[in-house]
Amino acid sequence: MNFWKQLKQYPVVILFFVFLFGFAVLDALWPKRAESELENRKLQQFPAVTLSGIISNEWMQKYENYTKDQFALRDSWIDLKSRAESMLLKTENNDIWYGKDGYLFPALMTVDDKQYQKNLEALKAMCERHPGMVDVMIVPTSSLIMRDRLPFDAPLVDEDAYLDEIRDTLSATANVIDLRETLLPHAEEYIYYRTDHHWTAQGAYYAYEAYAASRGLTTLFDTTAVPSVSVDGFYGTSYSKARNWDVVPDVLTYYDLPNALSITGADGAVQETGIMDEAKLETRDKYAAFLHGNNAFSVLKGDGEGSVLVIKDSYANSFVPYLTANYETIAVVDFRENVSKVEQILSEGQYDSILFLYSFDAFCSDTFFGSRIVSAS
Amino acid sequence: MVFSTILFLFRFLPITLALYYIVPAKLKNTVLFVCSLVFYSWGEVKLFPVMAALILVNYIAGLGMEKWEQNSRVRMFFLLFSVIISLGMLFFFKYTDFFIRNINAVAGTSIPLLKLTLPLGISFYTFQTMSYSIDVYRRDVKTEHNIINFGAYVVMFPQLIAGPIVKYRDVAERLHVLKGRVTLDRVNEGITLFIFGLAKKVLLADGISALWYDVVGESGVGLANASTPLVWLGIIAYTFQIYFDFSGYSMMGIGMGKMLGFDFPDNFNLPYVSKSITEFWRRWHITLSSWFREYVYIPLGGNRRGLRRQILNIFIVWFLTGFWHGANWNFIFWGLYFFVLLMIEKVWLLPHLKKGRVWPHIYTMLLVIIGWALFVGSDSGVTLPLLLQKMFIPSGGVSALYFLRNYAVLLAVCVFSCTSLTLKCKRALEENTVLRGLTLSVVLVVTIAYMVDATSSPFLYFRF
Repeated sequence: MNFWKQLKQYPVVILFFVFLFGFAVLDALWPKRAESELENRKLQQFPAVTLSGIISNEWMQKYENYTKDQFALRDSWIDLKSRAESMLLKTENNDIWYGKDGYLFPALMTVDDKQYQKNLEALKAMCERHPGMVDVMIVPTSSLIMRDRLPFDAPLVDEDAYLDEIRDTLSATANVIDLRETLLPHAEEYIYYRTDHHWTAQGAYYAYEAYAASRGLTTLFDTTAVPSVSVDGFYGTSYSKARNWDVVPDVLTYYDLPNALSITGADGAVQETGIMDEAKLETRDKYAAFLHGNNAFSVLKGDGEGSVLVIKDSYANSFVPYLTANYETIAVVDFRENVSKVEQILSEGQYDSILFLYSFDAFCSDTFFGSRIVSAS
Repeated sequence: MVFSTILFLFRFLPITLALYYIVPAKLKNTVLFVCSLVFYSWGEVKLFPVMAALILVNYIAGLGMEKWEQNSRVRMFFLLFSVIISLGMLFFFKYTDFFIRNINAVAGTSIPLLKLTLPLGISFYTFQTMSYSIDVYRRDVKTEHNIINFGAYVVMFPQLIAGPIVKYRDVAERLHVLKGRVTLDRVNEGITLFIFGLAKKVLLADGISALWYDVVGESGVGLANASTPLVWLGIIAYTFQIYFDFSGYSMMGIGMGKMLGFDFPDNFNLPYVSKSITEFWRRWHITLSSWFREYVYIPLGGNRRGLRRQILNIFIVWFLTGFWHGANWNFIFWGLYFFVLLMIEKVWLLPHLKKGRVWPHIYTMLLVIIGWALFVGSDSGVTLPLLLQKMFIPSGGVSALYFLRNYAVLLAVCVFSCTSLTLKCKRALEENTVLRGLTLSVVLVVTIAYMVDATSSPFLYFRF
């Protein structure tokens, strides 16, 4: 046939259409996944067709996300992009800066000043209602403590100025523990994960020492008395975004404590369990093993005396276990999962002190805790 | 639907092309029409009636002008009917809130805003339907009797949303070629254009836009915190972004047009190599300039009624060009800014620019970049006075070094892609099929990788 003979003279046309049609068919037949472990998120499933969904355009948007999320060889494509970015000699990918020694730093270039001011005001109000009762720990970002490892001239937000302001605003009524002083001397140690924004058990322990010292606690959590467990192959949240091909996985270490943890979920269901969610250690997002991730309200049975209420974000999850050495009851509240007001929680238990523990980033951007702690009612 | 998505590339395009190629010749326009309607409605089903009405009105106007061939009043009525509806729709959706805001500001009233969704591409396809009815009125083209053919022209997906602005007479002939419309020559060329256009959008425009958003974006350093060199670097990044974004879209449109057997007019011709603003506007968004020239400037008298009238006509064209780009004052300033520059060149500067070698390029680019600063002045994260202040009053702040280092290679690739060296590469690829196949494969594969890992980024010109 004339056409086929002619077509032979256009190899690029053949190549393009074989690829276009071939890959479209391959993609349609490709097995669909519920979630992407590498990216640590759920993937869009085929959306059910409804008339209202089509008229409101929601169906189209979901379908479009579906084609992208379920695209054949998705992980390999993302890997290829990350490699191409390195070939462009870029020192970042998807808002993660590539630091020295395999460190990945979330690019924090700005702070939402409005939200930050709101949060600071709310915390100040709570400290004023309970003078002398609140300990405040704001965990600096890894990029501040390890700034020597940042890429050249990285435009870091002036975190020091904010941390100074937080300290100066609150120190009249609360005990503010400046973790910069605690962590900076250990900047060369493995105190933050390379592939995750959280601190390591070691980083959290230095903070715990500072907390204990500042509260005048004489007993200290003895790291030699408890067996420690190390799990390697930890690929954290920063890696999920950057997906750098030359990643150096982290080692997650925890202390295997026998203490009982009672978790009340956002739905009110109570679960009695241990400190670590060991099933999570098998997955990529291993940090979620600490305290079984973020839950509405949890009570950890300690070996000491008295009780403390910890208001926190996920950084506290690896810190709280050390408090078992000092308190009998350690109550932990995460306002992202819990709609109660802080005063209500305080009235339901006899707390000797409150520990407010947030990472700098979450303290500035969190939209939940402010409204729960700002007023007495 | 956005071209640079998996949805378009691996669902819509293969299905549409397969149907279009397989069906008998006389059904090709029907397939094109129906698939294009799906493409149009995908983003906003509720706006389907807008498109249907626009097609019907202009189709009927064309028939009317033909039926009452001898009656110039009736013909004029049909012309006005179609132009008023086309312009009226554009005005209603795009400009109503702008006027309400200004009336509220001046008269102190508080008329509520309509907050309508702008139908995608309305600025482009209303101009296309107007070109049809005006040309029929002038007897430059024959009336289209088949509503499917006409509908296929108006809603044809490759150029629907962001140009090039294709006049009906540009495609009328191909629209009626049924047998042998699609030629391998065209498809071959179209594939190259499509892939390079896609790469321009995904790799260059979206890649370099990250630098601009690092400055003004929500999680960027913020315009107020940036140092003057960083602001300049940011606006230069935007200069690249808007060119690659828009010309990439046009290239894809022209390329897919070729795959379907059409020849759309060129829209960009290396605008950043210009040696004067006059030349720049002959190379940038060519189909828009030629539309205004043909349907506004020349009917107003062009240069045939003396210099004063000519200057007024040019003023009107540039006011409209600015306003066409967006319902905001900064777009009007942007248009008038070019009016002033073009007048200065016309009266005095142009001969000097022609003699220069290097400085005319610097002069042109500097003024074009300042123009883009005016243009981007109403974007979120940008306030025009602050942007201009940061650009022209040296100030400290976050330094440009990190960004310069991080984007160095990409910036170099962008500069290269703006020059005529790309033409040499194009010729080399045309001569060597193996090299061409290899280059296109690598470029396409890398581009898809970036598409898979992208957060959605619609084309800049979608807003217009």
